[in-house]
Amino acid sequence: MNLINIWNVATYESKTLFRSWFFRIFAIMALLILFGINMGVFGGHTNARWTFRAIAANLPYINVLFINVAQAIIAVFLASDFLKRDKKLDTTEVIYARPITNGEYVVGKTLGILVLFIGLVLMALAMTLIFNLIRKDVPVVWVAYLYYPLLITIPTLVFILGLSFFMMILFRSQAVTFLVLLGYIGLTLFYFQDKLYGMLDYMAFNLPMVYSDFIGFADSRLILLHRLTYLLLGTGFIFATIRFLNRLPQTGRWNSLNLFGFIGFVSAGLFVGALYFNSYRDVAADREAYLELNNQYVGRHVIDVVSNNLQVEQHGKSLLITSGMQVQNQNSTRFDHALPAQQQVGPLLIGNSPGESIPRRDIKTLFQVDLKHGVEYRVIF
Amino acid sequence: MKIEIKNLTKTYSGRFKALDSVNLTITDGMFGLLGPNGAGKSTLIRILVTLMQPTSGQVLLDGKDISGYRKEIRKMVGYLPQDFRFFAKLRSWEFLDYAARLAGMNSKRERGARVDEMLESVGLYEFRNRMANKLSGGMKRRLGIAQALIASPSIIIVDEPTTGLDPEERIRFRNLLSDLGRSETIIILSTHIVGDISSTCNQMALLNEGTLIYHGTPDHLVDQAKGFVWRAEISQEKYDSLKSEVPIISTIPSGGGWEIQFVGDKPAGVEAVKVDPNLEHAYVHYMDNKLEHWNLK
Repeated sequence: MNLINIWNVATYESKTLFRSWFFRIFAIMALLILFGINMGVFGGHTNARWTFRAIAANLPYINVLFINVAQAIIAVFLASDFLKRDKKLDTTEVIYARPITNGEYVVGKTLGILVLFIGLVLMALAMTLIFNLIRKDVPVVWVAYLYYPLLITIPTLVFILGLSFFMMILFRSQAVTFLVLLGYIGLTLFYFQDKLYGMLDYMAFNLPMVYSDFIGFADSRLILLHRLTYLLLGTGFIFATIRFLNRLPQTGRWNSLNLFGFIGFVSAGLFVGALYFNSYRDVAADREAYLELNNQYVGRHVIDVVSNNLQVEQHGKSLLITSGMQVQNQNSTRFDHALPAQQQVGPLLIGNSPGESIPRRDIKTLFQVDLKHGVEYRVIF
Repeated sequence: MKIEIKNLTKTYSGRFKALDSVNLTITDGMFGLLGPNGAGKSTLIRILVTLMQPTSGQVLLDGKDISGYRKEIRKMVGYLPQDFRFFAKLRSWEFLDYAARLAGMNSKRERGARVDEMLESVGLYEFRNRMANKLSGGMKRRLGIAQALIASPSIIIVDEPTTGLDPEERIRFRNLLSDLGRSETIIILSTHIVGDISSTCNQMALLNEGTLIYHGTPDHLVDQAKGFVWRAEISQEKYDSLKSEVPIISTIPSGGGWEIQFVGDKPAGVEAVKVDPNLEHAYVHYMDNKLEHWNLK
């Protein structure tokens, strides 16, 4: 592939797209709505929606997430409109008769749309940053401004653009493509949601992606697997579009490689998707285990935690946490063992015996307090 | 440079034959491809510019099959399609710049100079900043030919370039093509307008329903119509009966009747004088008489 040819196509595709009223109205509307949301949630002296501000990275997260959903829908129109417009105006013949490969043309078109949409996201983030800087009680988490566009915007756009192009090639009808893809988007937003662990949610609308200043993402591996799935599938569909484009290929050799690219990337996407699915299933199995474990202790005595003094020491890559807990039995009867109330059942504060680290699914018992001897439990994780 | 078309056949959907075993040789200069709508001209052209694969047969450029050298062919060809319009949101100069980039002109300075030169040569320099869709029909066609010529191609293929143009624009367009025809290039002009061929081409082919029915010079085609073109002054009643017998190609009201020109054998009972044929007469003569003679009609 000749990068200059790709750049040339991308430059002019984004130029024509940028000048279209459809895109301009969409961009202005999206930015205005985002401005309104930011004013309502993050602006002024309002204390409303403090939960959004409690985690600083939510500012870029909410903005990117909102514009991502809007872009994902608009991209379907633009992608299919591009191919339709070319056909309608017979302009393809002039371009197709030029010495560029099918790959350069399709990749150039895709990049042209991508560049423009990413530019729009950057504008939205710049606006968010201004709100962020004004809002003194919400620190700027700079990495979040990088992570969210990379993890949300790019995989979503590559996937939906690739899919839209491919559908247009497949159905050869803009109306059918709209119907199928808008139906799919509607199902994603209102029906699939977190079904199958959010596997079908290509916009990452239901994927837990809150970024903490302290621990980062809750599970960055799962997020990466999910987003990589759609990036790979989208790339595969772009290869399919190149392969099945209604234009005689410049050379037969490259055309065969495009078929391999299509099969390879879609297979890789499905494989990574399977990894995500299995990993998430493990997490879900842990949750089931915790629930089951909790249920076993439903009838046990519960005592109140009066105070809990946690001391955290770092030892290389480990943390040693010592909990000095004062509990009070407010029940009318005496007993030797009891569960501290509000005990969080998770992988962190669970142990069978002092100093023991336990694999999550091997949890057999909840942390109990020996009321007779006042044992200090220590958990290493 | 020589284009050889050998036994070229194109069948759509396994039934309709758009081209049927066409054999043709095209050399440097202006070559006219004439035929009625649906004759197969656009199909032939789309095969020549590597946009379409023939069902069978070959197109050779200097002995090489073009299907194996698409990249090279695309570098050599400047093409203006029949129903070509523009990206509505591009200015005239931007459209040419885009075409130049796609043709492989990577130097910005060289490209800029060439764009200006082409805009000058087609008389659009003062409209360089106007959006392409705001140009008049003639200007759009001129911009179209400019994009075809931007990379100095050695083969120029224009499909129905004068359709919809006013007479002044048509003459201007023909002259532009004639100027190009002087250089060592092959220019293929496909049209159903006979005047385009007669005023520009030194070689031509006549296509009808996918079949090549004439290949040679326009003069030779005209020669074959000699003795078959007539002028007569007739009454309305005679006119009504004559028009079902011969193709009448011009009618001018004259007194109480008509002064007409028709092509073919002179019907009995009609007083008429022979007229020197032109290419339009020859075309009608071929399409009507020869096809009937060959049982192609």
